[in-house]
Amino acid sequence: MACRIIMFYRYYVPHLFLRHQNIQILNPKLSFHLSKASSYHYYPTVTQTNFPIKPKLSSFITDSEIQTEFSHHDPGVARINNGSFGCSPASVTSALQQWQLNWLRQPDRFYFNELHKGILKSRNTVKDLINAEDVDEISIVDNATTAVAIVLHQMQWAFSEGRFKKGDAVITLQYAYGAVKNSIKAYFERAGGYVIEVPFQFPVNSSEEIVNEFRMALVKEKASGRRVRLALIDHVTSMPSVLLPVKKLVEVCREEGVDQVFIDGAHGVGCVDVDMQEIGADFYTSNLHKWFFCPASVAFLYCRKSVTHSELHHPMVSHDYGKGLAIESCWIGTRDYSPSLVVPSAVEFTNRFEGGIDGIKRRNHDAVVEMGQMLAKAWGTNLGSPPDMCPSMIMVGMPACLGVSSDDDALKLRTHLREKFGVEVPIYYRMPKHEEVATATTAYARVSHQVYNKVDDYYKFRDAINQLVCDGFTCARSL
Amino acid sequence: MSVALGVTSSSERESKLECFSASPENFSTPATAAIETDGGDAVITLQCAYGAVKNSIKAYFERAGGYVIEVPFQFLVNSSEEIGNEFQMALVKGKASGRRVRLALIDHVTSMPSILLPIKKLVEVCREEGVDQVFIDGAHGVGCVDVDMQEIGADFYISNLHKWFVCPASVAFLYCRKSVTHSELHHHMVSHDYGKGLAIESCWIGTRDYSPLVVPSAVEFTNRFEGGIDGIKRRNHDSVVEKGKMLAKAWGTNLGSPPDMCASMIMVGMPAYLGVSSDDDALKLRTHLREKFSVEVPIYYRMPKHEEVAKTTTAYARVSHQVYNKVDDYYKFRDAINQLVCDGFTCARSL
Repeated sequence: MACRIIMFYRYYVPHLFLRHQNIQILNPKLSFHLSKASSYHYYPTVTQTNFPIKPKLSSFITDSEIQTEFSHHDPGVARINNGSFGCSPASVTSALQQWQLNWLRQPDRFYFNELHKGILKSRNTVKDLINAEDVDEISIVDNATTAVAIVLHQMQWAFSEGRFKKGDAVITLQYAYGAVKNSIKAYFERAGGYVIEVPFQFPVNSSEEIVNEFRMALVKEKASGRRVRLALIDHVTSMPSVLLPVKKLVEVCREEGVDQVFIDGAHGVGCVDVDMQEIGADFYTSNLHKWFFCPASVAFLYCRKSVTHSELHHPMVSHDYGKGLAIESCWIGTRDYSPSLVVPSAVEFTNRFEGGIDGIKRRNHDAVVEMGQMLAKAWGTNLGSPPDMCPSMIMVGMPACLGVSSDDDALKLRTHLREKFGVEVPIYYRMPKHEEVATATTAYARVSHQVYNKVDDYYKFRDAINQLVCDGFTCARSL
Repeated sequence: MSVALGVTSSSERESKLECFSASPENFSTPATAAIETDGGDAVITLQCAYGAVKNSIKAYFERAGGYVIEVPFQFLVNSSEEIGNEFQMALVKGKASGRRVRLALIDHVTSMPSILLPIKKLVEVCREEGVDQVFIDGAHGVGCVDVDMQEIGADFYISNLHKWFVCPASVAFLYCRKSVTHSELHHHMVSHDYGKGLAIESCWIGTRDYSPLVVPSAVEFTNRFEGGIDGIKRRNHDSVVEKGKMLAKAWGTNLGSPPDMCASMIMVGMPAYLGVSSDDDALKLRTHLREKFSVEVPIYYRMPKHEEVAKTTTAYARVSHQVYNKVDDYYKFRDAINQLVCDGFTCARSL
């Protein structure tokens, strides 16, 4: 009996020291480990007493350390919107501040001796992260918005210099990011280009339906003799958020003779697998401040070396004009370059987690799917896509009785949730098709999961909506 | 008055240029027609314009078919008048061939060599000679010189606020006179507010750190000084002229321009013995001063005219003064150069 008691304590007591394990004990229904960072490794060995030896702690980041890293987050807010502005842990912002201080201390010396080396290091880090062949393919830019402007700007010149003719097309999908659509309008359409917008259903049933729509649109345009100069495709769409089958879409583009393919992976690195050899696109951009723990803002534009893109230039022309985009991007005038310099620090941070960034992605995905299903069940609604089309974000239908009937309603409801309930989550308004019944789901919350999230964040959201439903809240009447 | 405040770098001026030349529709001619036009509408600029700006002109204006009139510029400068005259002559000559001058792009204070240009006068000349629009590149403007839009009278004005207005890197603004038709000005980085006017477009150009927008805090800081920013400017000017003269006297050299053409920076001739004979020498000497003497000062190489004697001054240090500077900073520089001369240092032999 004494032996059994001792065995009990040796086995269970260590669990009680780790909060994440507590969650497992208290909420047995949860099947994933929230922010599981540490691993317990039991090494049953035959000892004289046949007791299992003490658990050996690994050196992964602990739950408490994670909370400390993000202690600057507003504690009163259920922050389930990592997708919009990302996050940056204290250890990375501390590295940022160090770079800033170095600049402030002696900017000339910093400029001549440290800046270019630091950016090259970041570029090499990105090259390794995304399995690019050559560091020359990597240009550091502010954000995906900048990357899109760079590529489309080149196309504007192609029109004005006669390499493209009026009516040459860009193909994009219906849920392309609004700012990207504006950029296409500002550069491509304005210069005489034609825009093919491929419709796609939301909610989404499968990747195949997207690929089929895409191919049909391409084939149709080709039949009319139109030349498709560029396909601009999200890796993960923003609103509504869906993981697109980019590898397949790139293949379709190649089969159907699209000149160049540009994948907008704004949500790419840290959210989904990003491998340049796998994906096969000519251009790829990803923010590193959304899902890769860098502070605002740093992103990259990858340009496949084998592609002829000698005329790519940064719109901010400075001293290194003409030396290639990667070099031009290293200096675009005086500014704070420190976000570009902390990419290696972000890698260090992710490596403190079990499985590194891959482990983080996997756990985020599992957690967000579980939370999405929990919410949909609690509200009697549905998810916006199959779980395999949700990386670290998921679209969860909101109760129809809330009466969201416009983009404006969606925004106001979001504001209401922020101000009255301390819940931060973007809401997407889905216009019902005319044949749909009056109680169709018209609002979907885009719920994110990142390492700092707790299950209580999602319970808070669940309860807020349940409260609104209970109170008879409708957008028309209450906002 | 329309002011677009941006957290972009000093490349705001490049941004503005792009708005002109990448969209020649501004000039009521379609993009392709601009290229087909024989002769090329022109931009006029001075020889001493900032290198990155010249690149921007090449990247946007020239590439789209425009022609560049570059006004020669003597350095050393004797007076504002000689600059005004050269400018007028170049304009008249440029127009004589029937060329239309769409834009004058003029520094307020040039970078290297650094000279305060008589921009009010140059703007008047532009108006007299029928230049369509005038853009003053006041990268060194606010906090360095007087910047008054009504006085200057230009159509566009850009100034950094992180150079002389104590803001952190980086924040600048582009002023666009409201009475001017410039409805097609856009920010390069197209985002959600595209089409709502440059000032609104500039407020959001994608996720980034917008905190350098601490301009009101910078104003508070300058107001802690006697006379505010005007007092700071005046004292910086007086100090830098005094220090410049002290250095020139100590080295037996000269200043690069009259004191009234120096704002908070002054060009001081460096001893000819140092043998600076290229841009590369100038950069290496600068590095040497930084690493061996802990003096940070940019050095300008001035190619001698063929008729000048061998001992002519070929290097000028651009010396600045700001509120944090002490007289010892300048003594340190003076002594470093004296040491080098004493040691028989020459760029050819020693670097």
